[in-house]
Amino acid sequence: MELQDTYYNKSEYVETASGNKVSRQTVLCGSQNIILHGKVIVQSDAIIRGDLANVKTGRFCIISKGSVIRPPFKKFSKGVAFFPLQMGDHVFVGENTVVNAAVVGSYVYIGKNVVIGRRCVLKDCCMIEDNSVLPAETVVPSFARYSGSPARLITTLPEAMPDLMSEFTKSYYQHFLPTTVN
Amino acid sequence: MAYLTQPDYVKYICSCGQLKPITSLYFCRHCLKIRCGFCICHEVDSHYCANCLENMPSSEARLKKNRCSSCFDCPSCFHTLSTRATLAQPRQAAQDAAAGGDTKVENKQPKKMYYLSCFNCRWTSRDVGIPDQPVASGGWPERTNPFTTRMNQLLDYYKAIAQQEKQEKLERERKKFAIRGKYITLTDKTGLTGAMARNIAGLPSSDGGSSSAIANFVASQASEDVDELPEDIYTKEVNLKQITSMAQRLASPEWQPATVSRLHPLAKLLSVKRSQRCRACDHNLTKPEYNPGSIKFKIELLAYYHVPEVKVISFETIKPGEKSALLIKLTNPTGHEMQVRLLQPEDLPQPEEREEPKSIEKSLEKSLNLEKEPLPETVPDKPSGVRVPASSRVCPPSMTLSLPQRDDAAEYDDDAHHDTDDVILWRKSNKIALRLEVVTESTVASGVPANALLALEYSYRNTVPPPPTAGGTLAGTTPAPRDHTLYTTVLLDLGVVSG
Amino acid sequence: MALYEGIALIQEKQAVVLDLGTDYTKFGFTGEAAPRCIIRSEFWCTTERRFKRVYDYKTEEELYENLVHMLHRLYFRHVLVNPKERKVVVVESLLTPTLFRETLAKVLFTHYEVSGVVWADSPRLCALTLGTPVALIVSIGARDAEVAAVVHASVVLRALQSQPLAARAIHDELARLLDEDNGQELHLSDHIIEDIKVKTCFVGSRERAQQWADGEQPSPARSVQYPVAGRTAITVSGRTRELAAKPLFARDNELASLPDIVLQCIMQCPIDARRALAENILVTGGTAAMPGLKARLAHELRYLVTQPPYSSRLMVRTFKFHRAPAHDNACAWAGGALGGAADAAGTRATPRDVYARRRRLRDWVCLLDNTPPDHPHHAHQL
Repeated sequence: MELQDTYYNKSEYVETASGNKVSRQTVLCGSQNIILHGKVIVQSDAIIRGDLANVKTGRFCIISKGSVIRPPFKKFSKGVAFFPLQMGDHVFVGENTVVNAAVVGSYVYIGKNVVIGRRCVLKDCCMIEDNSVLPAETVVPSFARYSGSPARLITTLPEAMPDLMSEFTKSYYQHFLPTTVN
Repeated sequence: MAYLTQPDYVKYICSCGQLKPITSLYFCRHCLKIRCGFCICHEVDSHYCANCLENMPSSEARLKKNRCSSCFDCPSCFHTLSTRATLAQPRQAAQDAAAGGDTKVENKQPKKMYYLSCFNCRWTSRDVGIPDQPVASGGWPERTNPFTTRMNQLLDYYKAIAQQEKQEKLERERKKFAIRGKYITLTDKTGLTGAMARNIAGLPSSDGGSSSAIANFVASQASEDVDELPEDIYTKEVNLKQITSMAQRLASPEWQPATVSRLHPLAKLLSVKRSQRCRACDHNLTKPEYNPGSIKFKIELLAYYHVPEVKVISFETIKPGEKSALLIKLTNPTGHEMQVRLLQPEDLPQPEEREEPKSIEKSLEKSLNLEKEPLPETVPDKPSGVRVPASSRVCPPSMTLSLPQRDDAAEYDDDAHHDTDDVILWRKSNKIALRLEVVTESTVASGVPANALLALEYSYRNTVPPPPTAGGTLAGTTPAPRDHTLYTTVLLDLGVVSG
Repeated sequence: MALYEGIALIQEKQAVVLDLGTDYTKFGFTGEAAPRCIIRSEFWCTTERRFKRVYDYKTEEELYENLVHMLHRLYFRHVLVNPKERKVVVVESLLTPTLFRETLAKVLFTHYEVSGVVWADSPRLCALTLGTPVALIVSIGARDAEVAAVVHASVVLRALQSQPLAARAIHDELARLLDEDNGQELHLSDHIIEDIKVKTCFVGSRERAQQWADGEQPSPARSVQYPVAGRTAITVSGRTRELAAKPLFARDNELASLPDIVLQCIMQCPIDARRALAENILVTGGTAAMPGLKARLAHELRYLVTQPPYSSRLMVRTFKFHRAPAHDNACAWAGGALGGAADAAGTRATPRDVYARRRRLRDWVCLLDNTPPDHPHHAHQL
């Protein structure tokens, strides 16, 4: 099925020169530490914790409503340190999902209501299904489809995953339109 | 992506008869046919560990029983274990353990000890009394299978018998005594039992005399005692947390621990990269790059890159005896212009290639007739799901549509080109949206799944030089033309028929 | 690497041993002491989005597809070798349905293009792990309990016994007892029932079973509160824990309980073999690992043999038991690993070209295979 158009209130969203569309109803802490690489959509009620450490996303990322992007921390004997969170291109983060990963590769699909534990590494081309919980420090290999709590490999993804994901995020961006006054 | 999160609205019919979404299909450029995971040959390409993403040569993998030497899985919940470090001032170990901490960044105390811990269920290697290790990876105590010695004895014994049997056979052949049993008994079904029977029956073994393995072999001794129930079974409180589940037991088939205290870290099972091969022509369809972290392929002949993609945009509810509108989108994924014509499925010409052995029977006949060495069957049996009767018919327009080649730059000119045509809704670079009509028979009951078959004729430019020798056997390869007209059929899922 | 593979072709590749059980599949290499994996006989079905059991099939096509997916999982997720040009030892029951065998053969030969398949029956493979000339194999699996006498490497087919007295029967009884304990219909999933069985149940002694049956109440074992996600904990009473395996030993007029079929098997064997059989019993199969089951079986045998109808017809009085060098659930597999390794040249295997020419398997029930070659029937055939 083709994606249907998603409409947003024009006054609610800020569009930057590089094409990022960021809702005003989000919590972007430490915005100087947040780099969105262009054509990224951050929807309402999303939280990005740039105050903890750097957050970088690639192009065509979609951060859905109510999701939390939070750099992971690590405990040392002398205290706690936060690590930057990197996200590749064409990443989809579903609604109400918490991402605590260290690295999220490119072409990654994260469903809704997912918890990605501390310092997980999601390699390129992987998929975490809705309502999964990925325990801390999990490495998700490429072309793996994880599901469950704790999430486990259930099956593999098609080889065309990079193209599927880039087509999906691009068409999502194209179908993400301001409401027109009729 | 919609392919992974939504049901499959459009399924292609593979050359083997399976119905699959385009993402799980392959396209053999040499046979010019659609292939699917079912009718191609999978091969193990390289072994790697999914956790540390290290490659392991296959010989080493065989030696290590396909297990990673540095990564472990939790024996309790099967999540990956993490290595944790503590400072080994023995008396204060508890405190440090609480502090957790990683290793490399910390002050370089010589006594740093490591243990394994699970972040999912909080199991640690200390729970089962495995001593902490002075090195971060490896060095964990290995266990041996308690049955190995006995199994090896048995193995030597049976090998010796098999050897003996072989020798006897040679001997007999030399003496031209072709004595064959009159009865094909069950004894012939498995190995070595015949020889064993001889041995047991006290028949003379071959003149070389029985080997030491046979002479020294002691058969299992039966005893009158059996494992009685433990005395305290009727009085002991059961602690469910102390007893392992089936999954935990079977995760280590060699030991199958019954209590939690005997769980051991499980060396992580390796994963493989697979390459796929067309069974008909033995060409590779996909071949991944060696590097485990890479998502690139050396060869990637996916249907998604070669066959026009049909996507349903929207459709009206299907009602019996009525016409409903259907919007579909066609995409040309190739780098060449493509002519597409929509057809009724029955209009498909029966391509000559169909004569190629479809079923095993045919290929067998062929191979037997030719008196060649029996060819291995190339195409597996037709699985289920062939020729689904469709509830509705699509009325295809009679025109030929021309789809330009894919152009990655075109995505930036965003205005779709709206046609005034009845059929063509819009065109945009290599995509075209069509408005079609679906006719449903009035006899179709409501509530049944609605679907329609649609056949496509498309031109395909083959960039592979034709094989010099193969000649006429491959899909009509006359030397010169590299443009082919190919056909495919798709099944559109249009919800359910409403009453 | 392709080069090495080529060299390896000259040497015979290590064969794999496949024991495709109703509940659990054992898979590994010949010559090894334990299977590489013991996994549930199910696979992830992408179209239905759930795990599907291999044995859930209605048509041959469905079975074919199930087997293809299951073997794909085994080869590419667990054992990580190419199925092509590699031999397979298939461990099967003597009572495997023909449809299943034939379909498995088709999958192995045509889909996975294995070079040869050794079809081996589990009783004789179990006997291989002992090395004794005579053995009585009592195999209690998921669905059926089978008793087979192996005498000098031949199964006494006439005496083969099979009854649906295995894990399924225990699960049904356990589910019933749990409903009683908790005063409601629990509708627990199979996985939970199995887990309760594995963690809490045992087989009580003969005397106690008798007491329960007579309505006396011997002091029961401790009851257990079994927690289940999303509902109140289930009470597993001591009685339930003890009596879950009762159906295996329940006798009725048909004399079809587990000890009965063991004795009947011995009784139907040649008289010279009976004593040896009784003194070489191997109880195996996953369900045999239940605590106390072997002991109970031994006691029942020793008692029943003194009772009619056995007392007058069976003159054996001692029963001796073997311990196989493998876990109960992998015993037949271990036999396959031994047999396959010893017969490395694969002389007993059905090679692929033979199968390709004549697409059928030899089967002991088929007259084509068990008619002597000089029988006039063969003359008519040609």
